[in-house]
Amino acid sequence: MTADDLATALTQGGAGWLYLSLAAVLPILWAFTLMVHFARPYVVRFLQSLTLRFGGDAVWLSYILMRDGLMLITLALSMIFLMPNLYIGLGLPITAPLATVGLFGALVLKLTRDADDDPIAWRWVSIVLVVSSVLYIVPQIYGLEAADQVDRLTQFGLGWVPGALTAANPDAGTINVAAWPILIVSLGLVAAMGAFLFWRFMSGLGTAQPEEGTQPAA
Amino acid sequence: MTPEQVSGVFDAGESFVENTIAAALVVIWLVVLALHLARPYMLTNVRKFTLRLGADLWWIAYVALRDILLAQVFLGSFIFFYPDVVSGKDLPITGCVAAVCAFGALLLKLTSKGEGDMRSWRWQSWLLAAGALLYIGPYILGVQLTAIDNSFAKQLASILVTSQNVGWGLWLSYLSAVAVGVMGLIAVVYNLRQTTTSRSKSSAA
Repeated sequence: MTADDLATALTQGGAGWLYLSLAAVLPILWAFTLMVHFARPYVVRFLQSLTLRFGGDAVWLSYILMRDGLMLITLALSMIFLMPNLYIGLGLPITAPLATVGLFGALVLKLTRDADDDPIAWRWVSIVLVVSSVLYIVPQIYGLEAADQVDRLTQFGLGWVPGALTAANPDAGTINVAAWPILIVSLGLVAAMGAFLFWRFMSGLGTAQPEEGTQPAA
Repeated sequence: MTPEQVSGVFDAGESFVENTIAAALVVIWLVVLALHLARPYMLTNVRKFTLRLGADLWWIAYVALRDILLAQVFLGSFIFFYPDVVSGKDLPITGCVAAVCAFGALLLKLTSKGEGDMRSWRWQSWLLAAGALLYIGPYILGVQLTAIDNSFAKQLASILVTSQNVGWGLWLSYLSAVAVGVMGLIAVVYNLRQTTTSRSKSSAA
């Protein structure tokens, strides 16, 4: 192996390792996002037990910052599932692009409606987040992270599950038939939602902003 | 160096990360349990403050540290739900059940009536004690015995380490994942019902 071959093997291997590690960490980030989102009643209850508005504001500020920051970080890292070379080339979870679309949709809902004071918007954000997390966590854990379990799963007639839950099998050189349609639909939806946000922002320029509430609804 | 050795370097890196998480969880479980049991001490200190600001900040810092660390225990324990990791790495066999206990304690925190709900507090204490025991016990008496050349140690490790007891390890992992899924669903339903309740209350007012 020459020095160039070694350098190429190290950088390519390192890149693959990094992307697969990101994919493995994302279920944890998804779980964290959901936990913080659904901790809202607990945080509001705690907030009401504080005796000073300063403490209440500090807790609410930290909570919002952590909740929305986590959603944003998860979305930023999930963008790798919209890249064909990575999604199909590495054989990432089959419905991961749809989960990215769902997360983006939840953030769009947060931007366009007041999900903290509008219970219907909050419920929609919650449902979209739950469905999206299932679309990511299930194929990641029982597809990618169960690739070595095929023999064991075959005993129960479930040997096909890991293959069906991943976009491709790079070792066998096969691509899941649903992978390209899912990727194309997801790219279209992300582009449409991005365009909608941009249009909404542009058409709202110069118009009066609604008054912002400072107190969360119980 | 061959290409296989290059991939071996990254496999070793992955093992190092997973084994470090498993080792760090022992310490985090202990800290979580200690913080949970330190509640009377924290309350005693809160009453000693002469400024309400200091008391509020002290209480916020305590609750935040205690709850965030408990959430970290569950998130760190997520590796126990990965079948390839459970079957390939030396992990404590009941680590996934400990994760269920941590998630159960978090669910109780969410659905309780607040810090003063002693019934919920008692259940949380039992769950945390069980979780810590189920994690630290097999870690010390199983994972930390794999390098000891002794027949008793080998026998213990063959029972308490996932890579040496794959059948049980995987079943516990799958069942724990189902339990966490069910509890997660309860948390979602509780949240959705909360918004319905608060909405109907505000419409009635």
